[in-house]
Amino acid sequence: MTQKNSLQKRQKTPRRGTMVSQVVDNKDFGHQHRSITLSVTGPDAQVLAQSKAGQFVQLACRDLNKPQTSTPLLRRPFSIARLETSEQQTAIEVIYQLLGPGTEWLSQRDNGDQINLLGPLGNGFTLPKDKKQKIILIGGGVGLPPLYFLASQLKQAGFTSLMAFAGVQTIDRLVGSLHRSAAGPADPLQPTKILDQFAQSDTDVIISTDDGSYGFTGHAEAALKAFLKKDNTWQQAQVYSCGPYVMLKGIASLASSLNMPCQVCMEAYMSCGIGICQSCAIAMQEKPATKQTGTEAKYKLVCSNGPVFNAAKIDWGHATS
Amino acid sequence: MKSQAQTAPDMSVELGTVRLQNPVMTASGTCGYVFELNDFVDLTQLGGFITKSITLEARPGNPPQRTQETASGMLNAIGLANVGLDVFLEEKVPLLKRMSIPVFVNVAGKTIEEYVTVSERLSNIDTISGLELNVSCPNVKQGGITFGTDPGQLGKLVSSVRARCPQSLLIVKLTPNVTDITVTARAAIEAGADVLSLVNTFYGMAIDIAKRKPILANRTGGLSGPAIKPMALYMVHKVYTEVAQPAGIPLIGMGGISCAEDALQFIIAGATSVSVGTQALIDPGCLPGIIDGINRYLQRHKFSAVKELIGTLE
Repeated sequence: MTQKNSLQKRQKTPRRGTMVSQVVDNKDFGHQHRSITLSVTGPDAQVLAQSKAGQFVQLACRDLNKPQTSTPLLRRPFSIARLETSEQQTAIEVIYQLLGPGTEWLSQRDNGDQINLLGPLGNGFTLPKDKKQKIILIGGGVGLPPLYFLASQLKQAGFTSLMAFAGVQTIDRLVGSLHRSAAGPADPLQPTKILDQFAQSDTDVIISTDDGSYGFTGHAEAALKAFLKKDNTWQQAQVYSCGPYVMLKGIASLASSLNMPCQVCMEAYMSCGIGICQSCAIAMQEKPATKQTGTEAKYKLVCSNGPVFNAAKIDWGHATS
Repeated sequence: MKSQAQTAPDMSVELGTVRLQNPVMTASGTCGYVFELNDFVDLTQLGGFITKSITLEARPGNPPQRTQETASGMLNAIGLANVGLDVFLEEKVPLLKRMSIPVFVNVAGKTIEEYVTVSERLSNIDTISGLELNVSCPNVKQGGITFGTDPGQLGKLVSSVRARCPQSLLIVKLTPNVTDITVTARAAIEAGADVLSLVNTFYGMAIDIAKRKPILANRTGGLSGPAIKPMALYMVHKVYTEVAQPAGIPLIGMGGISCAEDALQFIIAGATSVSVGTQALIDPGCLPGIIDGINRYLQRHKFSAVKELIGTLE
């Protein structure tokens, strides 16, 4: 019986779980991007309230109680863009792009509908110990939402020197709410507070667009590079990044060349999201094999070892397919 | 009011000498090594636990992409990624002692010698109730399915393990990728298998038409999930009626089981117990739900024990 008791004790404050959430908001951001807010109550609220920026949730994009509707079969992983806690309930916001049947199903949910949620999953960003540490957040496309959450978490923790870089193909594709003049800033490297999600946490932001439709013309990492050249005091900053693979690879290389610590939030094709199925393998820099780990150290799992990794540890040549 | 005091049905079943408190188990490769699913489900409620495959040496597994969702199914080509026997013995087995339900360790290898070595070292451990020989992995270059498709090789493998592990409960996990599964089923039983589990995944693939490349880095994978359930059910029924029932060998049925109704179909077709794989990856909490559902069915249909239902297909 003692076995059972110790098991139950551990299950009293689980760090993650399966829960039925309720849709409280589901809105269109335009250009195939949407935001959905999900709320849970009771003991689930305590579990979900532990969410950290960089962590994600797995949403069942179908009614799990109806096994005859088995499409889409697998859950879909989404990073958390915002966390809102009160005594009774916890809500999270997820910003997603319409990409297939799963996100299509999500987009059709009305307020009050139920969605089965697994979370919070994975390991979030690790915050520096020194509150005076300068912080650079850099993301692109649907990689921005976890950085919105991170900015608010950093602000809450007492960090004051925050600078964000947001890169998109064209300004209309920026996920989040934007307040801007049509012309854009006179100096594209002059930080502003025009992106609501960053403004709420008092984070300055430099927007870059591939097509020059707003702000800095070029990729986000090019904007960061130009900015660091202009103001080298930021070369001491901790870098946090999330976005497309090529972008992260570029940022990892830039950070490494300047000796800047850099954490990246990776994406991978996932099935279970909880470290069981071994789908989301990511190649790490080869370490000499030890008797303990054998060759297993070659791959880590994005879902359970990550999704946040030290950028210097990833084998950027062979990380994903 | 009518008597509600109807006694709860006896949910227990026997796999050879091992008694399970109910017929629902995990399926190898979908529930980890030990308590990884603990945050989501109390595994001690299950009938038994089947670990992921253990090989002699640690294996890194195949390069990504390793899985792909398909219509009502999932392709996987993980490549038996695992920590290897030594680490399993050192780090996982001590934790398995807390499992309080029968634990079966899935064993895989490249050669007969490897199967024998791994099986023998596991066979002396009290907390392990039996070994499941994986002769059906479709995603590794050597071993695995090559043993499972050739009845001669399969017989040699099973009898070699049997000879060195005379006391162990031996489960042989069959592949559906053969013309006639009763041939390999018979070979496994004749060589000394105590229990058969079936089916492993079906060969499959998916193609990226933009790149004209296979989606899985391994090119092909094994298909699981609801998509394979009718085929798996057919094979369980065929093996039950033609081989297992006459030989008195129990079957562990699996392949796309997602709910109690699916599990009941396998039991009626002849399975003594069932394993839940892909659905447990999606919703670990489904496992106790399936046990409940079976229990309620037995009560509704006035069965006093789940054993009475096995192979009752008319």
